[in-house]
Amino acid sequence: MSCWNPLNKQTPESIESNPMNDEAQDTPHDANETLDDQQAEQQLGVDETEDAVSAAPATEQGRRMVLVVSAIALLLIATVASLYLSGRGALSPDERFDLAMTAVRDRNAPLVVEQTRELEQVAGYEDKLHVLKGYISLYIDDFETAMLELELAMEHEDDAVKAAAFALAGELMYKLANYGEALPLLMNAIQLDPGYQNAHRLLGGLYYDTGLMQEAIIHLAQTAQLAPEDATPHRLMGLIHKDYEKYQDAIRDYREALTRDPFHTERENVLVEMAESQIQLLRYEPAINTLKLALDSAKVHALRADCLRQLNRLPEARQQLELSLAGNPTQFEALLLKGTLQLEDKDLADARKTLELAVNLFPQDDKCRYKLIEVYRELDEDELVEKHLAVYEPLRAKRLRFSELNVEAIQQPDDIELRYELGILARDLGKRRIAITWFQAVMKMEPGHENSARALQEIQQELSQTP
Amino acid sequence: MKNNSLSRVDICRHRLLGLLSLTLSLTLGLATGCSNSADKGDAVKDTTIKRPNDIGDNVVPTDSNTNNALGSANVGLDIKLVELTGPDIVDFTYRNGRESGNNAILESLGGGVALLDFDNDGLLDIFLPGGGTYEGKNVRGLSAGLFRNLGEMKFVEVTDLAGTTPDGLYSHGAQIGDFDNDGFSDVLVTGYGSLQLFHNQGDGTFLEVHEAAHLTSRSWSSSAAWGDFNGDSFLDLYVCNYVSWSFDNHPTCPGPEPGQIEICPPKSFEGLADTLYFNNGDGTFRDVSKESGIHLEDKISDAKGLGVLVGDVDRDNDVDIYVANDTEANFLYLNNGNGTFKELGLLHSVAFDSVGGANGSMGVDMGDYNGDLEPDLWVANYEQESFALYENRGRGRFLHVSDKTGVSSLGGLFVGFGTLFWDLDLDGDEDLVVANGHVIKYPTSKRVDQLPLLLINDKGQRFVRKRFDPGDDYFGTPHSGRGLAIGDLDEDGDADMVFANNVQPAAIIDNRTENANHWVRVRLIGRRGNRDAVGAALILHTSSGDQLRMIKGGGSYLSQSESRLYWGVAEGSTLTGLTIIWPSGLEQKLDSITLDDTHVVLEPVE
Repeated sequence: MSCWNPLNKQTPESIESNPMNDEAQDTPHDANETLDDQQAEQQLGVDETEDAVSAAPATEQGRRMVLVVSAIALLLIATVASLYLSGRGALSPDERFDLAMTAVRDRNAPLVVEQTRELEQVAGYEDKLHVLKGYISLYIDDFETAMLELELAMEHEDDAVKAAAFALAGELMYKLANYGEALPLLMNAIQLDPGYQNAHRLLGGLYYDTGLMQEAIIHLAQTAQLAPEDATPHRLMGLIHKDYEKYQDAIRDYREALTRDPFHTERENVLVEMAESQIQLLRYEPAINTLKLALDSAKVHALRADCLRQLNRLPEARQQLELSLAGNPTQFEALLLKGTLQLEDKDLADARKTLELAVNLFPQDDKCRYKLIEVYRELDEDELVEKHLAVYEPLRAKRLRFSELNVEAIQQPDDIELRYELGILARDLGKRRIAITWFQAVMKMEPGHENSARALQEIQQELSQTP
Repeated sequence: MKNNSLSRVDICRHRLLGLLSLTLSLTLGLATGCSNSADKGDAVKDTTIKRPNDIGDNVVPTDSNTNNALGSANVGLDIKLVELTGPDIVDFTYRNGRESGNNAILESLGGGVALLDFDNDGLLDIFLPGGGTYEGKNVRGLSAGLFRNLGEMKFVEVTDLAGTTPDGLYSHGAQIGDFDNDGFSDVLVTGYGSLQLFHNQGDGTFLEVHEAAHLTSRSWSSSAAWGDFNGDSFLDLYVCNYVSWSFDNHPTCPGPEPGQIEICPPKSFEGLADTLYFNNGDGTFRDVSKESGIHLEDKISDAKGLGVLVGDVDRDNDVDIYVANDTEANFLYLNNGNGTFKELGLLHSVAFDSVGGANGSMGVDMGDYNGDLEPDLWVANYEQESFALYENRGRGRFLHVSDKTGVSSLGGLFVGFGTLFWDLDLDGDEDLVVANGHVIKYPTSKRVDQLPLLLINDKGQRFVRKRFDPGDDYFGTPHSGRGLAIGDLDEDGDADMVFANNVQPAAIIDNRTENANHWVRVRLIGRRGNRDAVGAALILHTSSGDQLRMIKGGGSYLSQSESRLYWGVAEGSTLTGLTIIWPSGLEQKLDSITLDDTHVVLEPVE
């Protein structure tokens, strides 16, 4: 589940498209979702407003313009700053300290170092320097020194210093994957300073890593509010909402992420996930518009094919399908769609070939197996129908159980065995990376959980042997 | 102590840097501005970064004709449907007791509507279950409404006169069937904790006889369907039961905002097994659920039946049963020919959606959408789920074709209930009507009331939603739709509609479509088999192709349409005959079938 590193808000690690994938059906009567009012109005018969797509294409000329404007802006800022400094004269120690503390929050290590050096020359400032030195040590991964300094800083009478000390100590523990220690430290930080953005960010990551998504959302939302220019919290919230089938919320979050940063490093993932969420809501027009903004890939072509088919643009759909399979002959969505189209067209021999390939490649996916069973039934291959039904039904039952438990995990934040079962189910469903994250979550909650440790080891061995 | 001030060298350095920066900025700015002017001439220079919500027209525009979610204004142009209002129209509102604040799932089902000619005067009358309320923790029924058709779309309530005031049943559905083959339509009413069977006395009155008839179920029944399952010429009865709610099993489900209480979903409860009753032929029934194969021990908790349809889906001349379950797999019980059944929903691909997902299924109907003379199945589902069109590939085996036929592109905002195939524009293929309305108080779409849908069949290839402008009569106005029945209320040859809405007045829609197409109508009277001829298959032969219709039991949601069968015949087509396959197995061919006429056909006894 450590697919996003809250320690580095600018370059999140690449996130699996479905780290906690739940492909089961929606739970009907789910009242915990929001929906785009305008889209609802439109389809249900009031106003007409299309579901807006949220990503800015960057033309070459546009990029150049942006770069030039940015350069001019930077130079102007440098000009003003230089003139200001030259005209103004010296900074007082308190001003330097404030500057340094701001730099700690902004994670501007060089400025912290610079101001610390200056403040070391000032008598009577030693107490306040602990937090800055703690930050510098943390920055260079000298955890022992960092902790010593921060513990001293936590005793300081100034709440701002204490808050920063707790937050940095929490960050240290997070880096060491000691979530049990990290959590209270970070909670202390936000108690002293509810607007401590980095503490919220770290809490969001911590809760995400331990499968406590409701809590993760709360802190990510807070981070987003405190850092209006940062797209990453919304990106991650989108992912969480999508995994829990709150597709409308996911779309809203993805849109906001791209609004804040159209050139986010996760842009392509966001566009694809947003389109997938729109498809889940059967909103094919908005989905195709979203996909138009994504770079071509086998998956994107496959998703486009699905949308175009729904919109009765079959020649284009088939073209996209071909492009997808040309790029990756084992692309799951493309194989499933191709097999489905062949089945609908009563092209049973080809449907059989396509879906048998899909099932061989993805033996733990029940959807393509379901379609294959339909093909065998059409061909009167009763034995094969029975054989695959015997595999399909338990697989489907596991998928549904996985889906149910994902929801229950939110409501049972302390249930270790529930998380262990999620890991087992994920493993059985072929979602090995998701299984790893659940087993890791169990280990974080109960380091001595032998079954999880063993299961984790087995999966990691399998993965290491997989080319 | 060191000097805390900046040194003179530092100050000079800063000033020099500042001047240099200023110079560079100005130079760059001028250079950029000049180059832009050269590139674009007099055009306004747009140097803003395109933010996602500004995209607007820069995205490939949508062709509105392909956007089935919004509907097309170019289909069904000649269809004209007018909601009737006035003192002589039916004034009836289904009540569910929601004012009590119990927020019980019981309140979400709503009521249906049934069309019958109870007094055999040749005009369709209307029966509306009344619903119910609460007295403390006791569930109580409210009076049904029976409205006698006086002709010319005028109705008068005769509930009390007819003796159809119920005895405390919180009611939902109504099903019409002549269970004793005496030529008078009887009424079965479903509801919470009991059934009611109103036996038509033949004199304009009814006698409630469920106890005497041994229909003593205490379950929470929803939809029901009549059909002669064992071929003894008496109508048997299939009853769907829903979930195990009671005040002793009444969880509290939170709404989306603090302090809100929501109606709990069906997943909060266990399912209840359905019941199959065989008609003993003497006015009584017996429960054959177990021995018939209906009662599946391992599937009881999955049985949350809301819709049921009885018909010969595999064209083997017996009647089968299709059950729409809410949030669980749908059931297809294929008749073995003797009143025992095998459940084959999964194997025959009608249990789930196209990739094996269970849906929240409510309304159901059967019709031949693509004209291949195989009956297809249609299911109205919950939001974020496509409505399901299952194409019959022969032998009762199906394929989910909602994607192929444009149904999925309707979007996922509708919660569908009463639904029917009907050739509304009389062009020879069956269209679809759906009554929609949400079940919970705080839906994410924020729309409890929803627009009904009219889906026009485009030559058996696709369904296209007919667009109505906001406020454009009934179909342009949102409702809390539930039951739907279709029948010719004014005997002008076309299909009118009655919608039963949840805690909203029932609506009568007069079909005033005018075009050059024609119609044919047939009423069957069984004599060797059941009198209502449930299970009969009829094929109208025309110069532009054959059209299949079947006499069904059940269908829609909690509702029953009239029993006559309709065909639309496109302008310029001629009739060449009618083939009737009676439930008894007898095949009858009629050559003298005329357009724009009702044909009453008695089953030959020899």
